[in-house]
Amino acid sequence: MTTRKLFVTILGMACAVSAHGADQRDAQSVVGKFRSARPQAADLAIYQLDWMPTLKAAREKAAREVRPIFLVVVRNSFGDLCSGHC
Amino acid sequence: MARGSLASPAVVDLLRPFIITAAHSGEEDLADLEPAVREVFTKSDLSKDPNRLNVFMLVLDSQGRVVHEFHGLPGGGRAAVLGRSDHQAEIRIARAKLKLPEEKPQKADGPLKGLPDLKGQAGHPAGVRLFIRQDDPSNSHFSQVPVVEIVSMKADEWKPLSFPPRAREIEAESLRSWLVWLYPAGVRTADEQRRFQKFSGTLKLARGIG
Repeated sequence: MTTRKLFVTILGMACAVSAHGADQRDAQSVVGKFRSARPQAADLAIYQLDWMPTLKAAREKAAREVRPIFLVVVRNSFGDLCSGHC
Repeated sequence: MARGSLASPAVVDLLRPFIITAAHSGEEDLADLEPAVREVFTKSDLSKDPNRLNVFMLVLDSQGRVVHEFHGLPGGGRAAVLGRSDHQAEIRIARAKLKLPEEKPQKADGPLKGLPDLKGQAGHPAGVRLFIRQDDPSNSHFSQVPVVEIVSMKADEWKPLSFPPRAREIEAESLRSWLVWLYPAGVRTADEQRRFQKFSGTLKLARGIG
């Protein structure tokens, strides 16, 4: 009986270790996919620019800071070029 | 396409001195445009160009006066295409008109001041930023530049995501506020009204090895 209990205990521990190892492999796989999909610095370069939500706000900031304005107008479209919605 | 061209590091370096703004109109009479934009655009020669497409770029000086304008869809240069422009060349022309000094390439990993943000309370993060990208090159909305959606989260919404001592499963429905932004809703404005509605099944939450 004692031997059988010991065997069951060892078997249970082995399963637990195996399950934990499988969980770690799953986590590592997900982390790997995350790292490959995560935007790189070059992908986010456009967010380094100084965006303003309206031309009115851009003009106020431009006058205050003596800077030019770059205006993009998109017709036949609903979206937001700043955030990337098209 | 226009955003993708503007997002190249070379063009970003050219645009650093500028305040950037954009406006969209889905109406034939431009009634949905900001009045200031409508006034500038309707006075431009671009808006009357018979070769125009649907994207336009205008450069204004610090006093709000237009100094340069060009078609906004990329293309041009040696293989000039009507209704399209070489963005780098046109921005350089604008910079010359504004007498701006030559640009200096900067680090690609500079501060991202244009990134959407949230202000939160002490004790827990204000929310998450979702970076959404359509990765199929055959899709017209393909771009390496991600769309950024911000999702605010309350303290109790973080609890299901606390790291467990062992992997456990959480209901996918608990992440509804994130998953509704899966493409196409997260990228295409027209599809925002038709987000995914049902989330079933579970996701495994486990501590990864960094």
